[in-house]
Amino acid sequence: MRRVALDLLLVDPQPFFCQSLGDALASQPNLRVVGWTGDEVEAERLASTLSPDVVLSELDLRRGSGLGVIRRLADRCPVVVLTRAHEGDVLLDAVAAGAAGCLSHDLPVKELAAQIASAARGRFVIHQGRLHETLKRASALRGERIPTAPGLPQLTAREQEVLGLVARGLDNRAIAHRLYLSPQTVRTHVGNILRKLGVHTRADAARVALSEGQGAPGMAALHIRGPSWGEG
Amino acid sequence: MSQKRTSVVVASADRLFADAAAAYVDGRPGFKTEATVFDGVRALTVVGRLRPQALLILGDQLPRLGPAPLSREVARRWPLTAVVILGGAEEGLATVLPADADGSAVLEALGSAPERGATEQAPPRADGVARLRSLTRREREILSLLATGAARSRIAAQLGISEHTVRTHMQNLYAKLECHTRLDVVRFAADLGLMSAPSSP
Repeated sequence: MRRVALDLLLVDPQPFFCQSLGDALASQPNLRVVGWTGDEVEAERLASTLSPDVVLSELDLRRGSGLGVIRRLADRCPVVVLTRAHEGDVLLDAVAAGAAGCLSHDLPVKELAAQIASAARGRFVIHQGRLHETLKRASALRGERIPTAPGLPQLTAREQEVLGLVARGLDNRAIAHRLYLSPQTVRTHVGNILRKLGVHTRADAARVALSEGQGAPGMAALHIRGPSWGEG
Repeated sequence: MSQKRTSVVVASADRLFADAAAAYVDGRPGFKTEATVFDGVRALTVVGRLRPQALLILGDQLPRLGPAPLSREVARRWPLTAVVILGGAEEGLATVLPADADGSAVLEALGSAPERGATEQAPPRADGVARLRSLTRREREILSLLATGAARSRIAAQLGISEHTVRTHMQNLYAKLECHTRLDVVRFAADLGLMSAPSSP
């Protein structure tokens, strides 16, 4: 039985990760990576020209967010979150945005390939072996105090909450939902945070938050960042 | 004894990235991935056994032994193994690439063209001695400290001079030795037998 190859679009802030994964997946049967980007808007453009069968997206991107990618593309094809964080920490946000699955980097290439094939057939994909742990973390997050940035006294309590969520990779809409605010209010808070911290991008603000040692669990995504992130 | 392909060990706490990067590097002409490891202690053991030409560390975290102490240990024990860290903090002898470096930058750092690797590892000896003679006493002191993997701040503290002065000495030293990275400097020192020999296999 022969199947046509599945075309994948990768959305991830690290070019070397995209290139590597593209190579590694090419050696798996019936898979090929047709494009990659670290930018939300570019992801939508690539999706319309390349018509991928499945999109894999990190949540924290160079520009925009993975939740934004999911909202833009979810009605065209399955969008599966592939995150450096623990999948339990982002599962509910991913599902709310319309993701077709939620996977972390803690799996070998071969298993990822199998999960992609499964997502292409319309199944919601998640690591079965860690399912209980994932659900425990996801449910713990519901009642949890929002992670804050106490090491930054120049911020108001609300701004610290918002920054904690920015550092977790949430976009304004998800933060608004979490804090029961309007997206416009969140936008204002984020603007004030950037101004007070003297930075220009959310990624920079997240880095400041993390370097103050208030990193919430599941923010491994940000730990890999070098000093040169930002608008590029 | 020159090898045709640059042998590489990949280390990362990120299992998927390590797996994928290993496949990427192995698929490039002139490169061969010898092993993939997911923690720092294991990386040290494997590097000691395989003596790869390069150790590629992805990210700024590794279980059990972090990228910084790992790269210092590798530089001390096996100075001919180049250490490349993608997306980590500035660290002694390692070549540190920004997290958004692409594949060609990574390969370049790993020692892209085998010929280039060969000349770096075995500069003509007489030439090397002549270059060494051109160093001042202070520059030689700094060279010997660089070869131990000491950070600039430590060299400054040890010699009782400012970091800025160390930086100036290093610039002159690099220019005289025709080195571009700390790794070049260490290889230079190792080739001239200025370092304690790596423990035998």
